[in-house]
Amino acid sequence: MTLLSFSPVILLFSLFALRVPIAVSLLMATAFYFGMVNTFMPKETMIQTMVASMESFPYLAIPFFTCAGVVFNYAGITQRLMNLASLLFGHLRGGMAQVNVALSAMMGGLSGSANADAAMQTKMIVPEMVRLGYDKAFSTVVTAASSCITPIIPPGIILILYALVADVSVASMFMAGFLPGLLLCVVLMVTVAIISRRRGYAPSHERRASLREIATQLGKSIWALFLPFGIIMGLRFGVFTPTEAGAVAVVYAIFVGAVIYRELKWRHVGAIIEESVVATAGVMFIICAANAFSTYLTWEGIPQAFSDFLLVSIHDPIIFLLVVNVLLLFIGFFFEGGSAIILMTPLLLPVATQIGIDPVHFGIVMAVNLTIAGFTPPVGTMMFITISIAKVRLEDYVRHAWPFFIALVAALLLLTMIPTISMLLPRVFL
Amino acid sequence: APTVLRAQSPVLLRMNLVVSNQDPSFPMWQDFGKRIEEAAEGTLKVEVYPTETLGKTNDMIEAVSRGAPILQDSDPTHLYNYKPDFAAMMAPYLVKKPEDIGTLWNSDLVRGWEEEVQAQGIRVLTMTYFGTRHLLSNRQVEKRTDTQGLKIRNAPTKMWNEVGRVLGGIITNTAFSEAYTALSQGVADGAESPLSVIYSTKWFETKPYISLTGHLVATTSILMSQKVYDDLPEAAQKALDTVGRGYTAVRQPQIIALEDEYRGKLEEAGLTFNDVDRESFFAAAAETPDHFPEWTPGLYDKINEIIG
Amino acid sequence: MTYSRPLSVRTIAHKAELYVAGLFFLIMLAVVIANVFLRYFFRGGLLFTEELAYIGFTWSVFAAVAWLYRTRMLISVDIFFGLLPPRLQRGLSILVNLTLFGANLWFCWLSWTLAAGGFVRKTPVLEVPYFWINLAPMVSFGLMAIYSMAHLIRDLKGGRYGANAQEPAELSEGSSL
Ligand code: NA
Ligand code: NA
Repeated sequence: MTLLSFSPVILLFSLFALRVPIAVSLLMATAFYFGMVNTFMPKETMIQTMVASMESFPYLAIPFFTCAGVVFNYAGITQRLMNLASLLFGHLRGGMAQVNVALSAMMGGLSGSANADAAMQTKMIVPEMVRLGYDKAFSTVVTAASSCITPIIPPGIILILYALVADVSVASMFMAGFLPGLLLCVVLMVTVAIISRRRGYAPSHERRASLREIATQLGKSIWALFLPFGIIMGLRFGVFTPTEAGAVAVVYAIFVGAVIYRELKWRHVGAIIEESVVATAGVMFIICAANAFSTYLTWEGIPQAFSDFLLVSIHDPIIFLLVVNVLLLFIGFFFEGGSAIILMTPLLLPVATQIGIDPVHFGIVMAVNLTIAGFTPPVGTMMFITISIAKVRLEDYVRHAWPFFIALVAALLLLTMIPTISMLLPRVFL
Repeated sequence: APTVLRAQSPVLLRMNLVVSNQDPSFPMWQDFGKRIEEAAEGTLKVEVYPTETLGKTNDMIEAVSRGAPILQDSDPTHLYNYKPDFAAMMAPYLVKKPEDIGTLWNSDLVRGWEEEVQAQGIRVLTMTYFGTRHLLSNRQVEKRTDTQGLKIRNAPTKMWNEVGRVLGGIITNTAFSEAYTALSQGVADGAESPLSVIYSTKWFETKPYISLTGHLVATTSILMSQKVYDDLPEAAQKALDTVGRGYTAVRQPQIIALEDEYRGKLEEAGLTFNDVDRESFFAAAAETPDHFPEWTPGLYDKINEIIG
Repeated sequence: MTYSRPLSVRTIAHKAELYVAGLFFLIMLAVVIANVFLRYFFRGGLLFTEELAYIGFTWSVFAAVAWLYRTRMLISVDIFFGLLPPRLQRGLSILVNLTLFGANLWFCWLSWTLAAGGFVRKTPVLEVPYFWINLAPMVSFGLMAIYSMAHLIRDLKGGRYGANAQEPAELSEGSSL
């Protein structure tokens, strides 16, 4: 391995710095490699690798769960969940901020995308928080941080991606995500409580909601709350595969929105398709390009060399996981979570299994770590989405972000050290 | 192909396998690579990559046809697009015993097919025994009527769906990576594979019975680029030809021993084996050519004549 | 959240790629949903759904990518470029757009090479030649090459720099993205 082996990586970061779109940078670095360094392969194979990414049934879950998330908003399902969250948590200190976090956890059972969650809640909750006297940048940060919960609670696109690359079953990744997702929720709610106490953010209603009020709202939200159970049951009893679950969720949301809540109208159809298409294409283009780029890594034997190096230097599972976390947090500053999963899993997983780490536990550590990547600058998709919709300056975002970053990393460390949090449910139910 | 920044000698060929490096056949393929290197007297180097590391099989076959220096793991159905008749080698109940594979491959008939795919850039390096496929399911199958209503998992290709039709039952297509989940959760009631695969994929954890349908005496093949072959020095070409042709006989006893070993392992794991009235499937199997109008007429008769 | 703006030639031109992408997205969604229901109620799915879904997926993504490129909505790292002095930004942006033009043109050519050879290989059940699938990246990269030149001209005139300078994208009113 020589400097030549790493020239595409150097080129890649130069293109990033020149503000070339991430997906296009990945393709150009790959093209440089197969055009100049390794000319033994037919060059069009690179395009073929990229297109072939979409010929995989599990990847179809991405457009389906993205579309389902969009339909939930138009169908009035999200609104009803928010009302429920507000009733349950609004009386706490920093009530609306707590509602923001809780809603992400509730949406976690429906939606698989942190980006969709961040976009929707910035529109829905941030203006409400600002009206109640919360700092706008703080509100934006809470939204971006809590959107990390959504993809970890099943269904989650990042869990599907990992299952695909690591060749473990999607169902066990889904099961494994439940408790870690709840842990993230708890840690973020504690953080919100501490900050709200300091700044004196008031509850949004004075008293705890009565059981009767909660029961009434539960009744109104029951159609939304049923969906996660429906998905898990459908998977458990073999009615559909995880990919098809996404398609079923779309149909269900349309049914509830049009027939039960009567909020979904024909005129929404265009916007729903448009949003689904745009969100899917943005993510898939990066993933396809990352797949092409990873063939360069393979041809140069970089994953193997990297694994060998790690195996020689590290023998203890916990130390290995800590090193991996530091490495991934660094990589997460620059890469989008899904593409980082595709690039890093083949490098790290063989070492992990060899020193006795369960691939499912390892997947949760990677997924949580790289979801946090979407929260941090300079490349963070949830950060981009929330600050551009709420029109918040990056400096203000960063100033409010660090306590949440510490909280998320603390949760990540807990998940790293205690495999049981991830492994309990898959062991019991699968 | 010319190189801009890097020269290459000896020529490096990368073998892209479907199986993982834990699979019992992985060291066998490494041995195959070593045999080629030795015979080539320093003109060739072979590296073996597991689990489709370099790309998916179908994509890599296309890349091979365009001149990629890859040795691609495959089976005769993958050549269907280039010469439809090749798929017949994987038709249920046509090839009867492992020895038939070598006989067929070295016949004038198949050599003719080989020349046709060579013209399209693909060269067959070797063909050898992969294993005999049986049915894992949640009920004992003794004759074809027993599979009625049974959801049998298959890969989504034309020939695998044909295998599903001959077995009877309901064809259920899932990707290989989703097969375990499909079996354990009841999307599929059964799946068919050689015993070693049923073991290494852990599918056996999901169903109690293995019916020895023996519906497919399966072939595995390694393909390479004709263009790459043409550009090689003579010593390398000769090495590839002799080792490739000779390998059919080397691999066959290894696989048969492996099948015995895995039958033992599966019985130890508590699976129940039962024999099958194979003749009850023959009528359905005889209809296969009707579903492949693109095959040369009289193909089955010719193949039966060759393998006697 | 409304979508009642009348369809004029102008709005259609603004979102031409998205109409194509949306159509293929619907096809993809429809076939997979149909398959689940057929399998559940009639105990037999359609064998070609996967293939049709892949074709829809590929065309949908590549069509929408062209639109995202045109409207500069693809994700990029903005922070480093913004630190450079404006004159340097201007110079670099010209260089970057020219490079992008070349790169996209080359990707378009490679996609064409791939597509042209794609009549041999067909999808397993429907036997659709891969030509029709690989046409999607060809069209998309071709459009992206053209848009690179448009960006170049616009940057020279209007003083917006870089491949992904912020400018309002034209999503529907009330869109949550
Ligand atoms: Na939230
Ligand atoms: Na989720």
